[in-house]
Amino acid sequence: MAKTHVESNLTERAITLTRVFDAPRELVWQAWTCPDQFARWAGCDGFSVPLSTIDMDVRPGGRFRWTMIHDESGEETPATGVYIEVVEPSRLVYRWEDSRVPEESIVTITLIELEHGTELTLRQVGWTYGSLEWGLHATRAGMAQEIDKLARYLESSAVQAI
Amino acid sequence: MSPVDQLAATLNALADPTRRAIVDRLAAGELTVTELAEPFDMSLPAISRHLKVLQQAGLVQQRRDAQRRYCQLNGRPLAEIAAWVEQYRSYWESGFDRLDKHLSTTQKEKGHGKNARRKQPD
Repeated sequence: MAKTHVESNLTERAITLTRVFDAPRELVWQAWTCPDQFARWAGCDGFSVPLSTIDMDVRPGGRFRWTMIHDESGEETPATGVYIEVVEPSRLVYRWEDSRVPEESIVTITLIELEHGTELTLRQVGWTYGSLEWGLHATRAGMAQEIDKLARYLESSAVQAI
Repeated sequence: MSPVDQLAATLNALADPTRRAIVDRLAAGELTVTELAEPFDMSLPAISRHLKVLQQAGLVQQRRDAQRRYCQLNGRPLAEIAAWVEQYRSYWESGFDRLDKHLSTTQKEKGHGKNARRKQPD
């Protein structure tokens, strides 16, 4: 199943992803805002976010922190930030910071209740140098093909989307 | 310039709406500086300053042909940005797969049957 709809605007430094989850909105909200729920899914393949590293003060102006740990190498990637908007159970906006650099990005999560499930839209605007290095690292590590593909993509559709 | 500095320069160059509009116009093909400046409510020197920032970021190249200066878009720095858009895309998609699994497990644990968790139409 192709589940996630993705749009990106390269010059605006924004990416928007939309996906429908087969679960009530309240549960999806809790998955993002309750540490014991968040710990059970957060991160990406090959990484985990242990409950002991999560600290969330889910209210406007409240801070969060957690650490993403690589399952094999144990390498730690800390995340910190501040909640900007908290409208339970429909809208969560946070600023994702990187302590090493002055840049940051804003993540906006919108949850819409559907008849059968919940539509989640995640928009991320702005990028950290950390993510930039991460992208470059992956690129160097053997994504040359991917770059070619992206370059072709840019030549065709993406430039028009600017 | 290191690759990271290069990307920072690209992002900085694209942070400005006029420069984005210039990139957009050049995406359709090369233009002389005068042609490029036409739709903008801005002096030629002001446009030239924007072009200089784009050139320094490697996004725009100029070539001379007789008395004309042509501007061309160079897509390579954009491809690098696209590479990290791709990184985030795969990061979130992978995260969403995990969230999906988590949500269905949680619902089973809570003993919610399909009918219980879904609103049935009247």
